[in-house]
Amino acid sequence: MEGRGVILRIDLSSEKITKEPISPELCRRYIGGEGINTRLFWEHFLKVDPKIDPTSEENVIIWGMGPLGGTAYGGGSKSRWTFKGPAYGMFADSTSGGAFGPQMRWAGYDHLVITGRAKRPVYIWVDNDKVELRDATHLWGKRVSEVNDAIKEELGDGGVETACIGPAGENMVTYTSITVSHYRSAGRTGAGCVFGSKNLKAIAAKGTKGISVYDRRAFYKAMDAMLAALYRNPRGGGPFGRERFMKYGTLSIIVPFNDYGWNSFRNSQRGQSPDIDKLSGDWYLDHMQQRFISCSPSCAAACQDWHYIKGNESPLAERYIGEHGQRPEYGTVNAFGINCDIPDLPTAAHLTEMCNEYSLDAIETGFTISFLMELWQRGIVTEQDMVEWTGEPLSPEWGDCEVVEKLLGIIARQSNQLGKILGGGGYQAAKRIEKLKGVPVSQYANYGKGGSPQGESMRSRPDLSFAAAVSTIGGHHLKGIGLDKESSTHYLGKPDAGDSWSYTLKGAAQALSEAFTSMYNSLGVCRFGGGARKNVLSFPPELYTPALYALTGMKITPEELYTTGERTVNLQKAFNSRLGLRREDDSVCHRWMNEPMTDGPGKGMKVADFLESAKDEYYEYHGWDKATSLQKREKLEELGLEDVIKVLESEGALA
Amino acid sequence: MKNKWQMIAKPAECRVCYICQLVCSLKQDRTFNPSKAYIEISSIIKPSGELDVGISFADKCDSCGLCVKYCVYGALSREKLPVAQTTH
Repeated sequence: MEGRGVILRIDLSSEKITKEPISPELCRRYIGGEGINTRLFWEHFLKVDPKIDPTSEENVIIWGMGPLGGTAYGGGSKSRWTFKGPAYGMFADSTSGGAFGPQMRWAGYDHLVITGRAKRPVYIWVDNDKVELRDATHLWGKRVSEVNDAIKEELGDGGVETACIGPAGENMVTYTSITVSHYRSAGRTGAGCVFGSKNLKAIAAKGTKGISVYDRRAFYKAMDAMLAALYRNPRGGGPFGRERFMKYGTLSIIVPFNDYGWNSFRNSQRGQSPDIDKLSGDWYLDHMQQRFISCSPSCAAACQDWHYIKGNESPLAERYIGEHGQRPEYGTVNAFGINCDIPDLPTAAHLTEMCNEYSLDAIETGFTISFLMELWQRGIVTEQDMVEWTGEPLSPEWGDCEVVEKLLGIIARQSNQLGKILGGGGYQAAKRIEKLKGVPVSQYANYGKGGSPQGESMRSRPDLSFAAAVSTIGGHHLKGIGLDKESSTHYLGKPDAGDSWSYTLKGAAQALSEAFTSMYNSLGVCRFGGGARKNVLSFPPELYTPALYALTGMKITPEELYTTGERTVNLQKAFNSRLGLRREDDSVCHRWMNEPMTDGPGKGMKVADFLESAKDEYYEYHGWDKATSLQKREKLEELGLEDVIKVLESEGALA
Repeated sequence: MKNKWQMIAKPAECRVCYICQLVCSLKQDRTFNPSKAYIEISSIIKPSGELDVGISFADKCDSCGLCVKYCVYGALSREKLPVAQTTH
């Protein structure tokens, strides 16, 4: 089929490398990216016990990019990584920008399925049709920038793009990211830990074969429509609109969120930082930014920037002279700048870069450290504990950037007992400290489903806290995030889902948003630039179907395209049902659930006020059973997933 | 007459999205393939940490203006060259 590559399979145990075409049926039912990845993942776990340890040889990690990625479409090019997640023990996937994915597409591959475990450290080299496993013994232990430099030199090509891990992945910190094209991360769920468990240090790719096109003229028209959606959209303005986004990137939200009490201050004890002006998008533009850039090829709404530190930006900046990179995202500025209370953007950029180098997920890392800091604040963790766990009298005080730097190294290198305590994330750290000290501390940890933290303060954010309770990969902000008022009115008959201070329609909006999100992630476009966050009405399925036709010749209706998203979400849900996850697992931590919000317009709100009723609505909207959350036969039949019914029925996981 | 237009590049405005290269290759090669484009975006990190972006055109570029049309960041434009005077 025009516009499509093939599936590349590499078994690291046997060193067998094979290629196979993607069937038209797979394209029609799952499109690509997240969708086809999920289907390939599901099929893998028909041969392998779903309950395996995610760090075992039997796990699989699949890279994929939807068909519109790597083209000139204008929606960005997002890679998708799919695997059983070491961080939260369930289905997992993760997204990254960077130019690695497009290089794979230009080399002729849409998906890469990696199984087994290499006998020694290796990296994969994809050079158009030539694919080989190369020794990576000399790269083991090295940071990401060292790995990139070494691989480019070894291959004699500076244009090679990589996806690799630093020491955290080798040491199997469960929340290790894959660092992609140095500055982008496939984070949160532990993709880099799976790399480490497979002795896989990196994938390097270079492609010059290109992507063919079915109908060139029709593709130009589809591009015009995407640009119109981005630039002539009446919803392009406003506090969260495209114009602000292209100016500030994700930092566009940090000041409004502070006003609303949605930032996480000192481990989410409060929702507002008193020093927000030092962390704002304007501060970054005035003091640090050198130029605007895009984070991935084909983005007509580039929201990234480049900076280099001269030393005079702030009192702490002198420590980081010459450091450079892409602007830290909201999630990492919040995690370190507000959550650990280090209100200094050069430091946030520095700590983000350290996380990239170690390939640590910055959000999970920031929240794991802030949890330790709160226990220190409360006198639960003492100097004696720190000496016992690290061999030195470390004081994890709020705002101490040197301690945070040290803790990043301890976690990534797993060099002492504290590294092991913190190496499983905040929720696991709570369990480990409770065991060591014999006192309850879980009530201070911030986490959603499966123990995953969230970037924001969640008590007065019903849309996001609900997403964190039910998402198929554990608490997360990018598997569905509710709807804006116009989309809510269009799809649900009234605008309430878009009212951030109301508990109404949050379940139904999440169910819809999950399917839309999966659809965008299957197309290969960026959820932020070329797809919607909450404004799905601005980026409806009918925007993308002409592009798919122009690129591949595949005719698909907008309804069918939306259904592919629903089908993919259902397949992910089915996998988690096989693991035994049920209604009671759709939950959030004590703090979000029971402690009323302390500040902002949402003062007094808490998740317990609405979670169970929203879950009823969410399961009902999905066509799932309210009592157990399990999928119903009728819904799966409607989606053409009869084969999934058979599996779930035989395992007692069908409603 | 060929090359009636002159390409004008403003690298400072470029956001390194490569859409210009991708549309150019679509025209020249009927594929999305930056290596086949007549325009090239390059970037290097200088010792100071500054990101330097360059825009260059191959000799084969006929200044058709497709890349100009699809550069939403205003980094590309083209100017009509004055018609050369001929004497007999």
